[in-house]
Amino acid sequence: MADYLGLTHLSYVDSTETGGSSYLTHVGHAAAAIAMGKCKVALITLAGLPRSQPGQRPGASAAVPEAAFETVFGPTIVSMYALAARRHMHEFGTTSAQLAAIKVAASQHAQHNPDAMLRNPVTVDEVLDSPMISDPLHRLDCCVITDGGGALVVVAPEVARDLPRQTVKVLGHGESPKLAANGHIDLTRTGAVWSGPRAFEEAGVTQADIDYVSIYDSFTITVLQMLEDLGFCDKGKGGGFVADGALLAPHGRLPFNTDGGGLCNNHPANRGGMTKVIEAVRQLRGEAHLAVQVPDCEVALAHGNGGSLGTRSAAATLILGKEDA
Amino acid sequence: MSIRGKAHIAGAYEHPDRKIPDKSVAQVHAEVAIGALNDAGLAMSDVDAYFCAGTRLASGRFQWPTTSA
Repeated sequence: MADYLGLTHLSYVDSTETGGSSYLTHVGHAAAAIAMGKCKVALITLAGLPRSQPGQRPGASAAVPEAAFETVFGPTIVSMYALAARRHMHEFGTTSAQLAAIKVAASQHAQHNPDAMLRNPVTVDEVLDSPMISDPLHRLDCCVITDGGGALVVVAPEVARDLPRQTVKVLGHGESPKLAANGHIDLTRTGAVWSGPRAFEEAGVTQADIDYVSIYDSFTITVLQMLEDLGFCDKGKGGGFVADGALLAPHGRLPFNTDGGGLCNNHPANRGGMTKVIEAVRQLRGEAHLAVQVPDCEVALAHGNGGSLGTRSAAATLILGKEDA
Repeated sequence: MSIRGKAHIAGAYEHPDRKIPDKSVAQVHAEVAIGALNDAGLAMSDVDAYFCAGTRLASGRFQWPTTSA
């Protein structure tokens, strides 16, 4: 790609591959490289065409010896997230209606995004009445499949100073893989339990300081688990947290995914991490749609996940602040 | 060592299309790269670091074998 783009002055390259969380990880790595003086202007790109070229359906097997013992049970992406959802319901009493509230909030936001793939607001009942894809996840619990892409430019502070546009400060970053542990896996927790605290510590802020969150929403259950794991509510209490409109912009307790997220707007290349950062940047610049712009948005958190909640996944958390934060 | 405040996001760009039947994956990479650099007020010639996940990207056939999520 560097060749195709004509990038002839590169002093630093990074092809870290952690699925959908890759792009948040890239921002963290770029910030570290810039802090070390290895580079000054880092370009991060994502592109993919899974809607137009659906022949390459992703599988859920991994290059590990025990994968053969998983494949015989026919795992798919959605079934591996359904497994986590069912376990969360079993342990904490979470309901499908509570999960649906996440989609409802995303759809309320997406109606204001002219580029969104799904712009019509939906109700909890419409989510519950949509076809069951992998019990307990319905079609409207799943993100969209879209072509597209996104890009970010991360620069050193001295470069930022000379640019005409408002920039956004990288305050903290954390990343962590979560492994299958030979099958002894806690399906209700994600790598966010490790990446989140690292990002908060580095940024020097707490959950109470976060004005807006972008949370990877490959499925509704993904959002629920990560809100808990990032400490925005207690473990197991996510269902109640999302069911009362907490996620609705601009005035909910924790407005999320104001572009409509992967559930409604866009999921380019089957990866949600890039768009999570982009919408957080819009919020901090005050450039989100007026109907969903969080007033006085000073500090935002973006979180991504790659892989499968049922087996192996990789988490990455970014905390970003307004230029003067 | 902390990265706090040692780097800024200066440009961000989301491709506006949701169905792109007539372009290669590489071309979409290029379009979003130009979009983000324009947003930042920078040019391709200013870039000294490049981050791109995965392998075989230009072929347009890449899928991470474990998953896509």
